Amino acid sequence: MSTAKGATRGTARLWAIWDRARWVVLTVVLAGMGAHLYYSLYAVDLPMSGGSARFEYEQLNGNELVDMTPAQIEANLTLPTNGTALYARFTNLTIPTPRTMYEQGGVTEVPFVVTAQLRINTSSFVRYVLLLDGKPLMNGTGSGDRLLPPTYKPEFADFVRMELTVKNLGNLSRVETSIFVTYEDARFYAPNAMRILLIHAPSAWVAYLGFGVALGGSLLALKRKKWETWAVAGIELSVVFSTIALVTGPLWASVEWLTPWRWEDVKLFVTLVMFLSLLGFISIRAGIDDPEQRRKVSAYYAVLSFITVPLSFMANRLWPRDHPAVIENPQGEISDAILSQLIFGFFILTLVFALLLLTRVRLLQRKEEVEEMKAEREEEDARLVADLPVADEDDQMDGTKVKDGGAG
Amino acid sequence: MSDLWALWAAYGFVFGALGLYLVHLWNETRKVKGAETLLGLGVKKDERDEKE
Repeated sequence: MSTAKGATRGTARLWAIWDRARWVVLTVVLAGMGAHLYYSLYAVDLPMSGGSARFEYEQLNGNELVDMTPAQIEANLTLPTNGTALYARFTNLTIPTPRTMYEQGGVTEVPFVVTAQLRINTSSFVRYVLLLDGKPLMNGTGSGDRLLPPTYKPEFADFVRMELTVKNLGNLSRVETSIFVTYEDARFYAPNAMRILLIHAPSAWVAYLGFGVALGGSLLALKRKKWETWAVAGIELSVVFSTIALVTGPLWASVEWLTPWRWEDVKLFVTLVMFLSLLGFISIRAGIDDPEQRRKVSAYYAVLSFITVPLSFMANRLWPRDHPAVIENPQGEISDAILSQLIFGFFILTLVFALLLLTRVRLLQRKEEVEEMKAEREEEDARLVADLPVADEDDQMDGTKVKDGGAG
Repeated sequence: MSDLWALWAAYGFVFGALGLYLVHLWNETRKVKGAETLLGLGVKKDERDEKE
């Protein structure tokens, strides 16, 4: 008994500390979330936009190997003497994109765009041949700029071999030429919007977590009333974060799939069902007046409807369609930049969730205390009123009888 | 560039939703605090003495 009391006192002390610190802690954590959003939007260089691809070229005649990191490569090539052929080979074009994102959805062929521009800076005539994986992209004779139309490479390749041969046909001793190659991963119609992933996936995770807390709270609430607040707070937060996931997802899809929703995708459908079952919990509670009945019915409902959480999580793995699956792929080649930012997102949103949950639970507890106290006072008042001696209608305050024709 | 609107809309929504939820929490806190004050709850003994 004393242990239970001690534990209650300890819990009360912890809550008292929380009461004082909660807004400060919340501000700090929300600032952390702001940092996550900032880094997601600006600092993370998403490879799918072509930004961090690596491109090396080898100038064979000069034995020069240059490591070039920007996505747009400009190689200045000098033909030293009249009639010399320059042979440059671009190798090791590595695009560290998370290719598995679409393989899970059944899309394995990855289009890949190369745009090349050959610039010959003098009026001298040259003969040029530009090969991409042995196939001619551009060849001919002339001077001035040569612009290559975008080339679509139909399958994913870690390495693209690009070879350029330029031969000086003119009389000038030096011909300055440059080749300007741009390439991008064309698997995504909307590469910028892919950043939505960094908040969408952690939000969905936190929505599952909220439902998990509600499940635990509901199971415990069947035995002890005090856990009910955890179930209510968990469901409420799950509603908030699943709303975020269900809005950010279709926003991404509307630019990537060109349609915000695909009913045939089980993942989307089951997640929507999960969201509706969360709303069901709230409406069931709102519809039952008796607190005992409300506690039990909503707890059984939460336990039963929790099935939508594992279904929603597993849907794109069991029935892969359009929704990408990033995590838990053995061949996952998600880039370090995305992965670290994604992990940070999961961490910071879990923290935001935990703090909002504590704030909400505490608030619900205080609300309950207030309501209980109100009920007690009302009961007490009613008892006091009931205990008062029944007075005659003619009784005055001082207990004397009102005489006929008296004041009043 | 055409996909940027979705990015900003998504992040705007995240901030908006969390902001609204915080306002909701703040409002609930205010209500509970008001009720507690009416009932004499949540006021420490020394503070109560000072008021008296």
